[in-house]
Amino acid sequence: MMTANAFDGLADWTDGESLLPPPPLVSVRGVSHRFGPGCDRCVELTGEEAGTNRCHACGSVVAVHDASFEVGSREVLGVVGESGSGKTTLLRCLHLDLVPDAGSMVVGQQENMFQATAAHRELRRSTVVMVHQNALAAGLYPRLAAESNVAERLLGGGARAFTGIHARATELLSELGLQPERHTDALMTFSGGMQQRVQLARALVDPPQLLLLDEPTTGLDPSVQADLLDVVQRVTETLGSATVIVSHDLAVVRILASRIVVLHHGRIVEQGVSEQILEDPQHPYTQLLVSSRLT
Amino acid sequence: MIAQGAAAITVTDLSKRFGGAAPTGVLDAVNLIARGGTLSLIVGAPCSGKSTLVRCLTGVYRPDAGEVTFRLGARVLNLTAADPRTVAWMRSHRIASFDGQLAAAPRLPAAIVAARVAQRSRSAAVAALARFQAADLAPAPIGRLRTADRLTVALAAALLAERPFVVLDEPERSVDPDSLASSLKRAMDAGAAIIATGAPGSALESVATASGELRKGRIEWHKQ
Repeated sequence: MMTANAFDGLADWTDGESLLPPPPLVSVRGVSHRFGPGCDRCVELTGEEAGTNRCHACGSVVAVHDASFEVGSREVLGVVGESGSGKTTLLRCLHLDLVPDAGSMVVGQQENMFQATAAHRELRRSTVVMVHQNALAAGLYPRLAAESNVAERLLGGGARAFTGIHARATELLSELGLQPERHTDALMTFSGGMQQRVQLARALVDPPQLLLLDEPTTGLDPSVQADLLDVVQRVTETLGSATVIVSHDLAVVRILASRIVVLHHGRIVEQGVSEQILEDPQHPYTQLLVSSRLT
Repeated sequence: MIAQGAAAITVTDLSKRFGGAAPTGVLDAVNLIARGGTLSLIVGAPCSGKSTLVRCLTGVYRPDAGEVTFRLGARVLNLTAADPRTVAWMRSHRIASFDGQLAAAPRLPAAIVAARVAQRSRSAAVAALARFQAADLAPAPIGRLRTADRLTVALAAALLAERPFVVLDEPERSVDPDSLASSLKRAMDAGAAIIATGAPGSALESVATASGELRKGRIEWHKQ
């Protein structure tokens, strides 16, 4: 059978007649991570057929096994699955909070990020940025002004002139729809939606190559969620980053992501174009997930 | 502008069934070739499989058998065998599709939604809406539009994109036939390969270069 890469002619994505996408900006290959001592039978005793991600033999939890996908610049990939399916572990690996047991992640020109010699803290500032579900748990300073939280990231990037930092922070917060009179208010006085905007403003300071969004609209009321969706969409288009969004909300993923991977018991059980996954799901678990949507 | 004849959509023995234990066949070995600069119109009664065909052509449905191949100049891509990233890219850069779906942030003005889908400017999107007498929809939040108006915006966006492959599911239900016919003629003149579906007696028969009826899962051609 012919595959996409078994392409008649040279795969030259720069020409106007190409039928192939540009090379991916982010390439994740075979990422696996388990919690526990592990044994020879962990892979065999977990997963779809076993119906669990906990190994009966040693008690380890195989949180993610052999996850592979690619994401291009300005592309948004959705990751969906029930609680405990491995979404958070996968995201923590991509954010370099966890070094996976196996696998690689190539971002742009940087070879396997999991083995990067640069400090992961520095890479999290320059290359991979995560917008967390809970802004206060994301390392933001609740007692500091919104503007100061953005300024902190500008300082981390080497900015030193006060007027320049102030002007840039104001500009970014305004771009994301925060009214100027609130810029100097403490973050802890902000609503959830406004805190998410501050996080996104920080991401815009130094556009990362990989932007991770962890449940960006969960817990917000529908009105705030609708406004934030627009902001998130604009940010993902403006940055030119590869974006991975994890969400329980299939409607949100459909709006933001062009492709979806479905995780179950730590395995990717299906991946496809968003409309494919939501309208013509093939895997029984995906069918269950899609049919469980509230309409 | 695409060189005349450079684009083509070829459908070979396409079959699609739905259902688990006792699947129902909707498409049964459908064959079709739409070349650049032409409009192939497929009419059919309700539930004859027109929307299923469109969704197979645009990568939404994965067919059970057969192939959907896109050619542009010397390049050929089998969409049915392509990886999801390639299918997604084709949908956003090469195939203009209208199948009633328009996923967008609900507060966005309709013109911005159309501009983003088509990757064109806002003013071009407003002009595209005006061609279907729908310029007044431009500033309205997409989430507040009636279904019929959302369909108009989706169709305007699909035709604004000026892509080499155009696949439309019953476009006549959303806009007036004369405006639609002139937009389709313009796309044909630009070299696009167009496939559209419609109800029997469709007004698009007058501009179609080929037409056939989808019946019992197969196309019976009456103009080729």
